[in-house]
Amino acid sequence: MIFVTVGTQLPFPRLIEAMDEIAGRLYEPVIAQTYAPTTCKNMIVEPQMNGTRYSDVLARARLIVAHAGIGTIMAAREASIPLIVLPRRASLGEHRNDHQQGTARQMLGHEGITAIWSEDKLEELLDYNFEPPVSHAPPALDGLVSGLRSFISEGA
Amino acid sequence: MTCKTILAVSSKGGHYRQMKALSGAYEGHEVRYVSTDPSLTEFSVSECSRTQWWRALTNVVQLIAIMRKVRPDVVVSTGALPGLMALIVGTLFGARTVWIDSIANTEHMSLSGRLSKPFAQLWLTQWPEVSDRTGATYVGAVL
Repeated sequence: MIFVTVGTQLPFPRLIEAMDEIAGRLYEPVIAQTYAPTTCKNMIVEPQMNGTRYSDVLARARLIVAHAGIGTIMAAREASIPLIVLPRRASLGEHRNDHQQGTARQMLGHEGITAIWSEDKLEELLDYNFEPPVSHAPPALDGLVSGLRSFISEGA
Repeated sequence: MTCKTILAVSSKGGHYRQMKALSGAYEGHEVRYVSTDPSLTEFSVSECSRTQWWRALTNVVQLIAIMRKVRPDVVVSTGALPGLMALIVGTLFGARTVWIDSIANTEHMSLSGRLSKPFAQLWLTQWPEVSDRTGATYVGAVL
């Protein structure tokens, strides 16, 4: 199963429409979390999912196709499921600014996470057998946790 | 080490997931979570963003009620706008405050992040480049 998700803040019709069209040519179910109610021909649509439902669907996915949202990236990483991200573009009204472009660029070189800049690249990638992302704690997390921890204990 | 009460405030979605990744920092302390989704956390506040900035005033009222109950020693936020309001209200309550700008902001500090500077004793970015540019502290990141 392929899980398509656009996060908790905004719809992302460009990704949803592209995936719906591709899903018509796949022999694999596709579940899409679309934020806004949407009619799709070839995908099972659940506009909003609560945390439990989201984790359940995500855990069963072979591959996740998503916007370049941090929540999605962290969830895919924790569950160790390959992820393809298409960053939102502010010029197309898909977000307030282009920070997802920066996030996608930073994902280059992260195993199991593939960034693309055009939905035209999606279909050829879906068959690819990706390595899953590593799920162990990222090295930079230690520094952040201990920095926070010492700030908390410093105070009177 | 004395046990501190920490109020951890974030919007739902990626902000909340980043907050939960930091839970190791609170071992030995009491942490109470606030988000914009009542099904997610013990306390919740209204969703708000710069396009609905007036809702931030609702957040202030909600956060005052929460802080009167919890009396936090430290308020931590990973964003977004409700988190900024939490740092402002936390300052009024005499709490020590931490802003952790979302790792999504790879090149600039977020707007809420920039506005949080006067209210944050510890003002963090998760990118060394942003630290160089803004003076925010970098000690690590969730990814």
